[in-house]
Amino acid sequence: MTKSKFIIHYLMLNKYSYLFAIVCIFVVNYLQVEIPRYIQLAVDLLNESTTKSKEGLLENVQWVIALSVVMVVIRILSRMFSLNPGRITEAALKNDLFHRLNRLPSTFHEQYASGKLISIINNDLNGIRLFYGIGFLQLFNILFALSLTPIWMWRISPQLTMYSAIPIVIASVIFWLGFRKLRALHAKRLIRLQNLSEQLMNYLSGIDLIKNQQMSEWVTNEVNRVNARLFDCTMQIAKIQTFFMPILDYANHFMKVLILGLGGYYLLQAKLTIGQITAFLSYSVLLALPLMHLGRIATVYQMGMISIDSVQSILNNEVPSNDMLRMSDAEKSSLQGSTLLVQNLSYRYPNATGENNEWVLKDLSFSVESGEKVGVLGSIGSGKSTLVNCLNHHLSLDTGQIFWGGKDITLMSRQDWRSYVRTITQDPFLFSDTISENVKFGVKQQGQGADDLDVDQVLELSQLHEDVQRFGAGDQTLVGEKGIMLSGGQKQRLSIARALLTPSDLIIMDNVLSAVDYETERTILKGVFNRIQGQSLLVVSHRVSALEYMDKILVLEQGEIIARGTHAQLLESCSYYRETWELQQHETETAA
Amino acid sequence: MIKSPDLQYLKHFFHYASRYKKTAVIGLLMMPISVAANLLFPWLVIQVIDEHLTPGKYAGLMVLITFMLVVLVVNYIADAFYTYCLRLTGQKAVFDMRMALFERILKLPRTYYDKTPTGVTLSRLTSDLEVIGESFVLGVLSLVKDSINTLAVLIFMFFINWQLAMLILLVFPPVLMLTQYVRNRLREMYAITRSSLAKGTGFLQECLLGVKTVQLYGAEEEVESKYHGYTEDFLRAQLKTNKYDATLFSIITGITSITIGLIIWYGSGKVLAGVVSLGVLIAFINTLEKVFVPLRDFTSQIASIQRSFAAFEHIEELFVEGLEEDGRTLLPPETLKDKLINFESLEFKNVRFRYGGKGPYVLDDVSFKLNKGQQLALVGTTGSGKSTIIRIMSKTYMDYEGSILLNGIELSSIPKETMLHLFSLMQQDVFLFEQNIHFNISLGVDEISDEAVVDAAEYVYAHDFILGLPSQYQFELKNSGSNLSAGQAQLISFARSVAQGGQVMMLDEATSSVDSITESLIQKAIGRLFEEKTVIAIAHRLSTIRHSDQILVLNQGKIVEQGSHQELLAMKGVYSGLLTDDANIADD
Repeated sequence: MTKSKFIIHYLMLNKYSYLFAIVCIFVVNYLQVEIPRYIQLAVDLLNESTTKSKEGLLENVQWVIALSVVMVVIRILSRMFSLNPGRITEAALKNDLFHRLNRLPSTFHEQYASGKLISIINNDLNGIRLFYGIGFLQLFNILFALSLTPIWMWRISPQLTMYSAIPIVIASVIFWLGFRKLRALHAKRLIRLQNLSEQLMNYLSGIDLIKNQQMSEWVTNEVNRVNARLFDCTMQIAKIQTFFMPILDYANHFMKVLILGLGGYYLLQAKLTIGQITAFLSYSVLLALPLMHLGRIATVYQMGMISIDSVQSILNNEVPSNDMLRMSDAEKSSLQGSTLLVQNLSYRYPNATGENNEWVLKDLSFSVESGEKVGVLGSIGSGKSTLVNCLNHHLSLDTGQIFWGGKDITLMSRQDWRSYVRTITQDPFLFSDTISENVKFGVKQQGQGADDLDVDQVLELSQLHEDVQRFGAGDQTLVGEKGIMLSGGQKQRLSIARALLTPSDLIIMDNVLSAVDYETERTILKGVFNRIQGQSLLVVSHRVSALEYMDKILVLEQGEIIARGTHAQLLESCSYYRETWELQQHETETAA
Repeated sequence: MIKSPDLQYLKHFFHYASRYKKTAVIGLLMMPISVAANLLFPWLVIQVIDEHLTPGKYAGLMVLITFMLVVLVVNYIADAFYTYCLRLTGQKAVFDMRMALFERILKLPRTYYDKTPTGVTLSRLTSDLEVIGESFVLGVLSLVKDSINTLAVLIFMFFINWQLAMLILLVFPPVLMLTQYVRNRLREMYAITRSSLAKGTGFLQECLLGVKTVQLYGAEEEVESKYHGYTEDFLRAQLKTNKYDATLFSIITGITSITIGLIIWYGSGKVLAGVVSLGVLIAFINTLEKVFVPLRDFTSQIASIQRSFAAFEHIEELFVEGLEEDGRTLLPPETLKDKLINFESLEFKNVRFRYGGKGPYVLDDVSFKLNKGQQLALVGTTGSGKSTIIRIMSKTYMDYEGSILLNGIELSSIPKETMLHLFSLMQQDVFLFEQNIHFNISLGVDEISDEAVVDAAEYVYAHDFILGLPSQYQFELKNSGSNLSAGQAQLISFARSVAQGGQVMMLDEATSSVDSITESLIQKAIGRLFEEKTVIAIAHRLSTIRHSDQILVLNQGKIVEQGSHQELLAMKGVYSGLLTDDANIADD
């Protein structure tokens, strides 16, 4: 979306509100210039003492008061209907951004630190809110005030109107010079604020290490440096704002002096009345206010533009079009319990360059039949995790490599694909909620309600049940941020429980039992086998023990499948497999 | 207008601002000049009209006009310096507060982080301080200036003509009452907006950190509906705020013209009777904006100050949050220095511990002793309390019951900074700085030479893979080390522990996700460590366990068996069961 399309898109969101506001703003501004006219008439009647003039004076005063009351009411409406859209747009954008961030693939999230994204949503949306709210209001206020007021002034005295323009023109030139400088500074400041935010976020997440290694001083110095850069920029802005920008405000007072001097001269020549000078003085205020607001709107505008750029840096990342296609229920159920077929799968990371640009996966082909249990053995760097991230389509793939029931998975939306495949990752992420809510995570999506019985059952299967019962509040225990209250093994077992809660066709376990001991590992695997009898299972591990009972084992080394077969077959045929097994077996013998 | 608890919150701000008294005083000195110029102007207007325009006398008019111009210029300069100097003071105070808060945050106990999402702490340091720097400082500056000016103008008006001034004063009470009412409503709204914003931000952050999990579980819509709830709450409160804002603003703007009408109506009789001159009447009409415009701006100034109070409240929470070493009687570091140069021994005597002082005990009656040069292995199922023991030793968690003696001194009475150099901790979660590899190993300690960094890397067999990186030891890590693999990150953190050279190595499930080949290399390195250093290890690896002088078998926070490898095997209890039960156990 281009910037102008973006602006228009969100303007249209509140079009009726805006239209009504424009009408109200016009009426308010019209009344604003009408009222001084009645004041002028009243003042000019002050020097006469006839009964008729007294009546006329009273009538004019009544007009002033009545119109003022009407103006109050309409002004309330004008402000509500022009400021509310700012808030509504802010809320809509927040949801839109969240929606987009949730759906953007891994390639996007690797580029943007979460601190930066949060700063955009928290800080930049303020700029956009002001742009769509107060910015809109002031734009039309200024537009109407600056067009109506001079006309009313002109009617009184064209010459005086012309001369009054002089201080305004001079002030405007100075103001705009300052404004241009400010524009650049505001952009700079926003970036520095983002830097600070990212840096703090980073240190806060490593707080334990920082404390234990006594790095407080170093870290404080780093923060001090970034903080100082922010401060410098803030004060540069303050300097311009205090020394240059008020010039427009003062232009009003200079105008008053001009009106009194020059107007006085005309008065002495009987070209003007004292009432007209009074009205002129009132108009000078009406000109000054919008001019002051011009400064405000200029700031709002420039911040809005910067913020829109920031927000667009997220929103211009399109969700892959295939992810927007959703399958029909019929198609969905027809693909249930299908076979996973991997054909000549090769992968290399797109941002790797030069020497590093090697194929991480080379020409892999295998299948996982419905209900089959397949193991993948590989050491670090063999491409295990990359394979998992290809299979679940976390990484962006070329077409024609992975098929589910004959359908290319890259041609279906990721969301649909993941209703078939469930991945239990090495680094499970937990929300700071209760254990029960964490287990139930994602259930609503599947359109199924999980009752507490199910939760109990899967907790038992994943051998977490006992631990949970020892917690004070059972499965209502809060796990803390990122599950800090749980140990690594507990987290892994919780994520297994999470995956087992709702049925899926293929479960992928990516080295998930690394932080639990062997007995627990075996019990869990046994439980998983029982629970998912009809479902396919793919276990990735560097431990032979976890794979021994699989129907089929693939041995992955440097991105290639160097052997495949059952445990017994591989012991015969594959020396790498045998050596690994023996290395791990050897320890057992000496231990026993 | 401002309640006393609010003022409480400000004391920290003024404490930091008072460091820049000089700048503030210069700014404040500009104030009387500005006020005087502000009053001189309407007085000159009266002179122009009554002395020259009404009687039709031209001579001397231009002198008065020139004088008016001079008054304006002086006013401009005084105003600018007032605002600039005080803003500078405010910004410097905010700068210092941010640093003070950050330093304080570094001293908060682990329990604070357990209960507070990082996003909340982050928004204290960024958006809350932003609000104070902008809303509060600017709000107070204009509020003070406007109040003094308004008061001065009112006094001036009484001086010129008390009847007309009284008339203006009549309008004040209803306006002030309205302001007060709206102020209270707005305050309620701001509390709601701040809290729904904080909740939304916290949740947003979690979803971003866990975006992979969200996507792999197809939970996009589930988290969205929750997030929409927060946004909706925030929006509703904001719309109400707008309504109050609009009403107040419009009424106060309208009051000016209504009052002008009243003044002319009332003043007309006086002018005719010759009591009030035309100049005074016109000056009054023109000065009204100086009374009412500030009165209107008060609301927005108060609104922004109000916003800042919520921020102050948050900041205050951080200032009163108990520090790690608060309320603990610590021995003075000087007396300890000599005793803590080298590690001698560590003894647990009947130690019990539970998180936050409530709930079940995660450690129950744990006793053991570790002497210099010995190795201790902690064995047990997950959740048995192994990690807790290490966290208590490093003083990450305090408040244990029983007694822990480090070199014979009670651990709870030792200031953390005097003992941390003894320990080198390898945690489960690897944290990497966004600096180069060299820094991540040396952690910026000057005494660790380049050779030492390389040595440490070689020691853990990380050297080879580092040489394979584009700029080797200068390779810059991004995004908390996302441009390294998990195994590589662990090797770096391992090298870091070695380079930091603590006398007691604490290994916490260090190599759990390293493959067999790499792991066998690391085992050799650990073997070397075991010969040279004092080690406490949480380990599943048989080699680690076997070479330990002492093994603690833990179950649900209790030590169930204790002794050397051979002794425990001979017992034929839990430990030997763990080993012989299944062939799988020892492959790790």
